[in-house]
Amino acid sequence: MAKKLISIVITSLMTFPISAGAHHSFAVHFVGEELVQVSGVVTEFKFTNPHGIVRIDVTKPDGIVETWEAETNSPNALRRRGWSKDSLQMGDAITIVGFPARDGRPYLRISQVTFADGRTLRGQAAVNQD
Amino acid sequence: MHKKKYNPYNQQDMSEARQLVISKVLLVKFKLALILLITVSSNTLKAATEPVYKTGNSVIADAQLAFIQKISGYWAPRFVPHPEGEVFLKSLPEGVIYIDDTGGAELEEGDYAGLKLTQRAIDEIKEYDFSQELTSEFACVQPSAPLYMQAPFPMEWWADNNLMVLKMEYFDMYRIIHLDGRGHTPEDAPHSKSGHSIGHFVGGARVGVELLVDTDHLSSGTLLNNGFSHSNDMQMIERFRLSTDGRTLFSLQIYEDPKVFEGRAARFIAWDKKDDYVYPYECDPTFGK
Repeated sequence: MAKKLISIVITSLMTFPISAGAHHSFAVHFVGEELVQVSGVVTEFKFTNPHGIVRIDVTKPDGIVETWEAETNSPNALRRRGWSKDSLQMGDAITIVGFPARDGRPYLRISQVTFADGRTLRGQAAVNQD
Repeated sequence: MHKKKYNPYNQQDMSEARQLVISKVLLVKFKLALILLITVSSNTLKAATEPVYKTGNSVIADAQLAFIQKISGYWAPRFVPHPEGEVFLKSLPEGVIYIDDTGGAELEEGDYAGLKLTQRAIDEIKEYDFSQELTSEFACVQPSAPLYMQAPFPMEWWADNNLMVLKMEYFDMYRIIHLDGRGHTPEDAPHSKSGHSIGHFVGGARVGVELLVDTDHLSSGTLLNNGFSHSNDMQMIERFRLSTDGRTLFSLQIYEDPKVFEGRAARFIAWDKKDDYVYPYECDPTFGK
């Protein structure tokens, strides 16, 4: 799997409301109208409230490795969707689609995780579900 | 008792006898009418007033008891409109500012839902640094009841005639609502994120039951997750209603906090009864930087 930053603004057409449910405001910290996609290898996964954190190493086209962080919704909400603390393992090659941070940092709110074998995990809901 | 004998050939005697018979018949009719009236009144009265049960200082009617039984259990936030909820929302008094950020939607930075903020709140916003929200110091700061009651997390609600306990999943918060007729704690009693709540019922089987909960002694916390906090003087009135089938719970939360905004503001939220449990939240501050 190519470990390169794709960083594509998938759409600005998302009109659905964005879910709260965090200790911090989603609307203030993330761009709810855009989705960004990054692919890389998992280096850390924490699955605790108020948010889980996934760290992945993303190899850019120039070969430089950049660490991205992606936060999940509350793990409580995600447990009810099939996530667990073992959902991601060190070394997993994954693609994350998520909402980019407003301040331009390599930071996302996860909307979906896709594994190399095609399995997916759903994160931030399209409709107000967490 | 001596009975007078009437001579059937005496016209005056017969006239007197007829009057006596008529008066006796009228008396019997009156008694029958009286019995009928008492029976009907009794039944009408029985239908109009439900049986009541007195426990402690509280008086609970049949329909209110049913509400208490139905409300006990697990409730998950509902994200789609419910027709009865829409009607309930319309009962919000005119002039109350409706905050439409419940459950999922959130307000953008600088959007205060139309609240007319006081200078105190405006000054707080000017000083507020949103980047602090991503620090470990901030990560596990508990929200106060006005915020956590509208958060998109489930709750368990356990109740009897005198006391209700709400176990919230969000930040493992708890609430106690007293139904025994007591008043609020004295002014100098401690404030807390859940405050001090007293509740009572209004309505009955025919008009529907509503649980009114009055909460004060709240300690300051964010109201809109948007740069300012409500004060320790915040008062929250909640109106809880169940859907006809008892499977959906509606709440109108009405806030008043003259130190922070003018007039009154309100949120609406709904939950669906489900078969599940509240999970522990166990906030981990190491999420923050």
